[in-house]
Amino acid sequence: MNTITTIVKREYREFWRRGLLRWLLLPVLALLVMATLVGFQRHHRYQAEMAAGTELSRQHWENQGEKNPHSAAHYGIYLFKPLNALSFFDFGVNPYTGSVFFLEAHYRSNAAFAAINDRSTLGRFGIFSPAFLLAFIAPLLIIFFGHASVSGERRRGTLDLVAATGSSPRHWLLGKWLATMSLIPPLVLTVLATAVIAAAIHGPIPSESWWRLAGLALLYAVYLGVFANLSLIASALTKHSGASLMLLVAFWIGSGLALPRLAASTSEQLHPTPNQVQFEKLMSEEKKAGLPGDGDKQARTEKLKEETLASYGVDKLEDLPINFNALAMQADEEYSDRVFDKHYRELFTIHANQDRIHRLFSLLSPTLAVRLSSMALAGTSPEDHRHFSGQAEIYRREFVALLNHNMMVHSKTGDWGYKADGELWHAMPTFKSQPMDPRFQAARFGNHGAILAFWFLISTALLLGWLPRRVFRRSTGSGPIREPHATDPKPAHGEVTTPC
Amino acid sequence: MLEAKNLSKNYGHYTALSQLNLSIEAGEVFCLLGANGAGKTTTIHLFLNFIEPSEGEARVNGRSVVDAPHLARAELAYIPERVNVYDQLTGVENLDFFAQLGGQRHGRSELLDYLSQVGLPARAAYQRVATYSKGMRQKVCLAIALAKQARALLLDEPTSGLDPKAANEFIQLLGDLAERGVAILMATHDLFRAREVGHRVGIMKQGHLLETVPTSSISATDLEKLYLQHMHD
Ligand SMILES: Nc1ncnc2c1ncn2[C@@H]1O[C@H](COP(=O)(O)OP(=O)(O)O)[C@@H](O)[C@H]1O
Ligand SMILES: [Mg+2]
Repeated sequence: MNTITTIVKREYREFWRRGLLRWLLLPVLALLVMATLVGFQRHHRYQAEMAAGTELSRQHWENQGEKNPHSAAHYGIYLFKPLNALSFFDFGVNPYTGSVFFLEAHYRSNAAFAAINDRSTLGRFGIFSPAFLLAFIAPLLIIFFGHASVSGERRRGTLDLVAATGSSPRHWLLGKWLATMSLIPPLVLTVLATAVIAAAIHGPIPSESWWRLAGLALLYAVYLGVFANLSLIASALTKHSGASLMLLVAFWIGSGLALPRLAASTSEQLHPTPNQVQFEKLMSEEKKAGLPGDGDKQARTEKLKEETLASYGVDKLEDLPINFNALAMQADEEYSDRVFDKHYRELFTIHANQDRIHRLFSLLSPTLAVRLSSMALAGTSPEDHRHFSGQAEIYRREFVALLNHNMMVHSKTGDWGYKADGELWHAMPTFKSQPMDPRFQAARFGNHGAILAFWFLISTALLLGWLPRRVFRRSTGSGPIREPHATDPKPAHGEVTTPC
Repeated sequence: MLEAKNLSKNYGHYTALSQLNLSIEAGEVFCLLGANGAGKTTTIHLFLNFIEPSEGEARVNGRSVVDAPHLARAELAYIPERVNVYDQLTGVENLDFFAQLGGQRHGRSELLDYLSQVGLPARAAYQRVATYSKGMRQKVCLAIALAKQARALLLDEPTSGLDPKAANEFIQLLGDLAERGVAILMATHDLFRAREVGHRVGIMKQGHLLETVPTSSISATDLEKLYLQHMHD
């Protein structure tokens, strides 16, 4: 134990005296503080804008004056996507999905499509979020600290002196490991501490969010732990610090950039997302022509007309006590919903398949794994957006049905001049989004968290279980840089270095 | 104290060391002479168990270094050819660090005392090693050996790269250590100093120890003659 503290202390002295703490760690901590504060501020501003926007849209709605309900259904209403309190930490897909959505009759809100136009966003981070810094910049920091940890000592020869003391290689590596690992808590705790301060300034966030934030801190700690382990392993297995640095940066690029891009293009290749224009054209055609066996719109309306006349026991539409036009509009609305549901189910199946590919790639890319579980925990994932879009659609249907119903019961067929007043507008319920089932998010988080835990455990086992047996050994080619003359495989016969 | 029995090391078909038999007593200084590539460093590394022997064994204080590398190393001190302690630490911090790794804690004054015993003044001891010459770094290593109370010292070409004055001073220190009962194995090209400090010198060529001579029975000129003769054979 004592020797381990000695080793950690020496590492820290070295970090300090080489200026690494001042010139590498401190700037990254400062960036994290800034990103957290800015993220909080943005979130807070968005909340205020959203509240104001919701209020304004409702006011316009309620004060639109006398109007035919169907016109009102096209006058529409704006929904503002509520953001999870933790979107200050991880913006997730939000920068790509937009957050203001317009609801009206006949059309499913574009909220559903927005998330998916470019699935490669899964591999991207909102620039400058704390999550981005922890997932991309912090690993580089760890790499810079760790890459020369063993190779540097081997190159300079201090490794031999350490080995010659007779101390245990496992203790030595454990000391190095602890020293490198100890850089991680400051990184994640800085975000937590800044969040506490920001919450005190801008107003509290739900207590449940604190738990999630703690989970995120742990998640990123494990993620960075993987980089710390890999840095030490690379440093122990390479001859030069330059080689280990190159290897590690290559891994960082592969994990952070190449594999996420590859995941995006592979999933798009295997499960192509339909083009939005075509997708909508297909739906509107199917609405008109009808699903197989249902007949076209005209035939469906004709059938409804006969059924309605029969059920009221009258012969002519004018004799109905209700407005058949409104009834037909609602029937058409509900038929459209069936068509939407069918197509969106297909679309969501494609998304689910694409997500599976991403998950597969995340086995190889800790960065993708941390990205996917971080979004899930922060409530900013594509699933969260999909969930919101489903909620918005349910509300839109209720909204349109209420308007059609009013027109149906308060006017007669052909009476397009009917106008409803403020009473109806006021009666319209406000939109309340239900939060996503936390169990689903937990499962998402758990899946990718498990991938990271796996990476961490394997690399730790390698580092502390396998490496100690060979770190003080010299296998061929892993010795210190020899003096030039010593590398001659066979000295020329008779060659003598003149004694001094 | 240091013992090699049929000690051999092959790299593929290449023999770096062949059937070395050698025994160095406590208090004895043995110098290994030989051209570059003769197998001197290989011998030292085998005693440290930095590499595994292809055949035979190396023993420290009667203990096989392969069976108990940590125990064997605990009795050894090693000064590599390119001697480097930690640049960012001072001399005294280096000494403290290596002593603690060896399981020993010494007070500041004790540490300074060890350093002054090897001729490193307190003023230098508090400077970072980055400013040290090779000779000063070697002294730090010797102080490490002292603090560790090593029973045997392995030195790889300690005088190469030292100015003559520093080399003489260093050789003097080795003599002192030997008098305290430390067994010393020193690989060197420097046959004059080898003769001066060594009790015996061994001439090594292409992995073979060709001849061992007691220094008391040979003059420097004869030693040089003998050495060159072997090299030209
Ligand atoms: N890791 C290695 N792989 C292959 N050959 C080696 C290795 N280490 C040393 N040798 C060879 O073994 C021979 C003895 O080397 P060494 O003991 O370093 O010589 P020296 O007497 O100069 O110290 C040299 O020819 C050297 O090239
Ligand atoms: Mg050598």
